[in-house]
Amino acid sequence: MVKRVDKRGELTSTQLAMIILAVVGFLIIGFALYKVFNNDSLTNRDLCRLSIVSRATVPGIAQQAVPLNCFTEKVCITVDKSFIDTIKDKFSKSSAVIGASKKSDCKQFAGEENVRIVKVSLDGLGNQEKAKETIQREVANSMYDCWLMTGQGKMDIFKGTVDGGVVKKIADAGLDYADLKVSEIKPSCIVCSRVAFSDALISHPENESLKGIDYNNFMSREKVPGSALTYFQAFTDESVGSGGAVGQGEDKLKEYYSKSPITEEDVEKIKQILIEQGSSKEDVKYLDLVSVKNFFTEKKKQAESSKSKDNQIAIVFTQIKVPSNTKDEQFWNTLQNGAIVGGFGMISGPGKVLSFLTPGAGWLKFVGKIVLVGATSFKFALDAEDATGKNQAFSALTCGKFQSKVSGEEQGCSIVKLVNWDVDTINNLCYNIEGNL
Amino acid sequence: MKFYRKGMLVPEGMGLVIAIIGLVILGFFGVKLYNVFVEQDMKNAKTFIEGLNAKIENLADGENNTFALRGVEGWVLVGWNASDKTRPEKCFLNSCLCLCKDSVANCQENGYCRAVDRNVSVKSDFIFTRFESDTIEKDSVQYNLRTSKISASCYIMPEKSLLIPFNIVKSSSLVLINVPSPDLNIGSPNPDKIISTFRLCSNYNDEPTS
Repeated sequence: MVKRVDKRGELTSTQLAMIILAVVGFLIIGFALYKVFNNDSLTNRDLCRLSIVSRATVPGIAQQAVPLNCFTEKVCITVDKSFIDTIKDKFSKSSAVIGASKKSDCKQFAGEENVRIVKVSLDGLGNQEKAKETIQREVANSMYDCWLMTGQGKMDIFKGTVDGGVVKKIADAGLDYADLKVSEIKPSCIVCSRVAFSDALISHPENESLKGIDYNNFMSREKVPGSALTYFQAFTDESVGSGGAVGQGEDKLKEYYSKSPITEEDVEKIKQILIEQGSSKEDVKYLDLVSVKNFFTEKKKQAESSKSKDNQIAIVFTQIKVPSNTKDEQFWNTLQNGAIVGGFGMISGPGKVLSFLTPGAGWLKFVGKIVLVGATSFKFALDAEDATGKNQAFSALTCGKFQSKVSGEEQGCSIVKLVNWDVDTINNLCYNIEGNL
Repeated sequence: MKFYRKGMLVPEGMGLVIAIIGLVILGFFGVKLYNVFVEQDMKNAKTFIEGLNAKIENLADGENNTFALRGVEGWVLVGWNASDKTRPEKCFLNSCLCLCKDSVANCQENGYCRAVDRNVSVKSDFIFTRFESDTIEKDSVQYNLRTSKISASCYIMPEKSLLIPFNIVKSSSLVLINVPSPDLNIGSPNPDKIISTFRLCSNYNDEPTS
């Protein structure tokens, strides 16, 4: 047997090849990562989605170490000025002082960069209809993009956000009506878009025409660009059909908003509407005159205070989570009700979610299937409209186990919500905001 | 195991090379991660002061407006007039608006300042409720609940800095920024730290309320 003796420290060709392969491999991976994260051709949305996927797929302990590379899209909707008005503006004092780069048609975005201007014309009936269409589509597209970007509610993006003794807190909630539940939840948010309406648009003599803006209706009839599905269907699934079931329910309920007094007979009719929407008889059995009255009183209050003070709205993604080992059914009910903020519930104070209706265990299935709820009351910065269904923007919502989780299952709810951009609304909705505003 | 007369084992040498490459890459990402967390605060502070300054510039004389901006936890917003001798050197000869880390005393080293073309003032106030001890006899202490209104010419961004409403009033000679501070009650986190930071601001006033 011949024993091979290597010379001093000599590398064999196999070892040399392995070293070269290792170095080249590292270089290729490094280069690929560099290209992915520094690619100019990727839009902000792509980068955000990439960072969300990255965060959602790393193990829990490292999750928060992955920064979300998300930037809020800023859309300024203003009137298309005539040539003379544009020239006048160019030479106005404020423009000259501030400089064109910092000046925006929407003063809400003063000093902010990357503002996209959308111009609409309000002169003439045809243009007014087109303006309404443009505004509705901008908002609908922003919501849809936000929903896609954040993984349609299937990604576990934020770290645990629920306080420990929630079930105890539920039990401790000493509130008048038995169905009211209170829980401490800490939802995290990403502000996907901010849409501002310029002073020129708000003060335009023809702005009355914009009162007909109806996001629910638009999203139930219009198709997502490049898709055969309507926005409603895209948010839910095709089995939902027109996707308008919940919206129609809201419409049916609206006749009771301003009705006074509400009778026992009305309560029975309201129960019937809720059952038609998907709630079971068991779900609605706790409803009584007092809880219904309280519900509509709060609805009216919400509508009163819902006028955007800043003429600015925002599309916000928010997510709340619960540990998967939580068995308590009540907890789920609370979470679902909490998630449906503005639908059949309201937010009261930071992190506190109140709900007036307790749909019960069946509600989870309902939400999981429909994944869409009528939600926040919103007015397009114009006065004196009643709290009707058409002024209510909806939220896209889904609840369940996050599909991105490899181990240690987590479950929770994700919502994309249209809200007014004001301090109280945002601070009540979000415990924490991630990404760049 | 095979030994060679000089140097290390070949497999060990290869392992060493790979380990070094791995460590370099690990170190690179470590530094990147560290920067993400450490520098984020500074970036946020810079973005904030630039945004606020731009909004001030955008207002015409005589106008006022409230802007919702995201705060930077623990930082202090303060305005210095050109005549103020205590203003940071980085303001040079101008009035300036500064965002300073932890305290107004840190503006020069750890702060961002932007020049303002007129006097500038930041006002904030809040209600502070606490127990105060009062020795009534040798071994007997009585605790009284004391509520006062605290005001000063600065604003300390609270722990949970989401959106904060900054009301800006601009006149030909002054930019006044009013910010409501959250009230401090018994059980609020770090009330002593907040009060001691407030004390360093000019025009500090602690006025008992009825």
